[in-house]
Amino acid sequence: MRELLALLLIILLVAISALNVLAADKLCSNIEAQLLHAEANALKSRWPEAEAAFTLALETWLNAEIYSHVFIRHPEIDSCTELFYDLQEAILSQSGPEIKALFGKLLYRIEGIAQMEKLKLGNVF
Amino acid sequence: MAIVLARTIIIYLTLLVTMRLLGKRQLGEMELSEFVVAALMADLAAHPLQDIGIPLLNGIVPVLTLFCCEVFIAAASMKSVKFRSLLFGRPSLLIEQGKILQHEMKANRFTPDELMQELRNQDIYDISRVQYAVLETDGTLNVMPYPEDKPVTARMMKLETEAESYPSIVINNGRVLENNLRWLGFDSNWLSKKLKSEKLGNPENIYLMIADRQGHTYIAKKENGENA
Repeated sequence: MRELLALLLIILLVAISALNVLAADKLCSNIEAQLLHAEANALKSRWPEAEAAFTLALETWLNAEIYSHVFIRHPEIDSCTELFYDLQEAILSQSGPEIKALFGKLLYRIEGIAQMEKLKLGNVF
Repeated sequence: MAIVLARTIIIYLTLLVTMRLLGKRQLGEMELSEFVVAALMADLAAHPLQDIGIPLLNGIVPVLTLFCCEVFIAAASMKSVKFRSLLFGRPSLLIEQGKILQHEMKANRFTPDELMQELRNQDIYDISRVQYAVLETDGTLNVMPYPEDKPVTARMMKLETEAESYPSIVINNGRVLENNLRWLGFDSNWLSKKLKSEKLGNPENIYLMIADRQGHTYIAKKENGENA
């Protein structure tokens, strides 16, 4: 009985882990796509379009709060949210020169979150 | 989460192998896999408690994974004798017919000082009195003295002894334990009569009462002012 319970438990853990990898990947891909769209518009100084795409990305991130707090280390979430608000400030003030660097930083963080959940040798060791 | 799961399994197996290589001396009355789980469990559970920045799941997943690993290892070792001896080792004979088996001592990295200490723990100060001493897989040393050095028993003396039964608690701090009373073959009437014959009144005045199937009892009254 105990062995069966352990087997079911390990299968459940593996299944949840696999779903979590997919969920993290999907969330980060969505945010990345919206951020890349916002960046493209911002670099062409199309600020209303950039702001709209960015707001969508920010909302996607904030709506995933429960998921992210359960599965992702909280310092990672905090630094990502901080970068979101730094970028929002730059977009709203339409400050051109630093905007590319801020997008780069945020995209790097988001990509990191997607990657750190993947079962790769580099992550395990 | 997948990373936490994979890391836990790797650390568990690594510890299992390294502790196995370190030998029985390190274990101290725990089986190898129990020792590994005990060593890991406390630390794993403590981290998410201390650091609220770590998701609780990062503490729960390793604990559940360790539980599964331990159950699988225990089941495999129950099923296969070979696996069991590979994982836990075999008991080692350290003394045979009063003679220390030095190659076994060396293989188990057991020093003469440690052997003497273990023997002294069992009130044996003379190795020549030991017929066999076995180092068990959990690190304990079991000693069998020569027959002439064994304590005398009633059987050896051909003495008749009274049958004994397992004593059970029937009153615990004023509460009657009905199940134990029934298991002993008595009922509340017997208990009332017993307490009356001892002039103790009702069970609420009793701190502890132990009885066996022969009706032998040990009774401790509550001290003055003690409440149930």
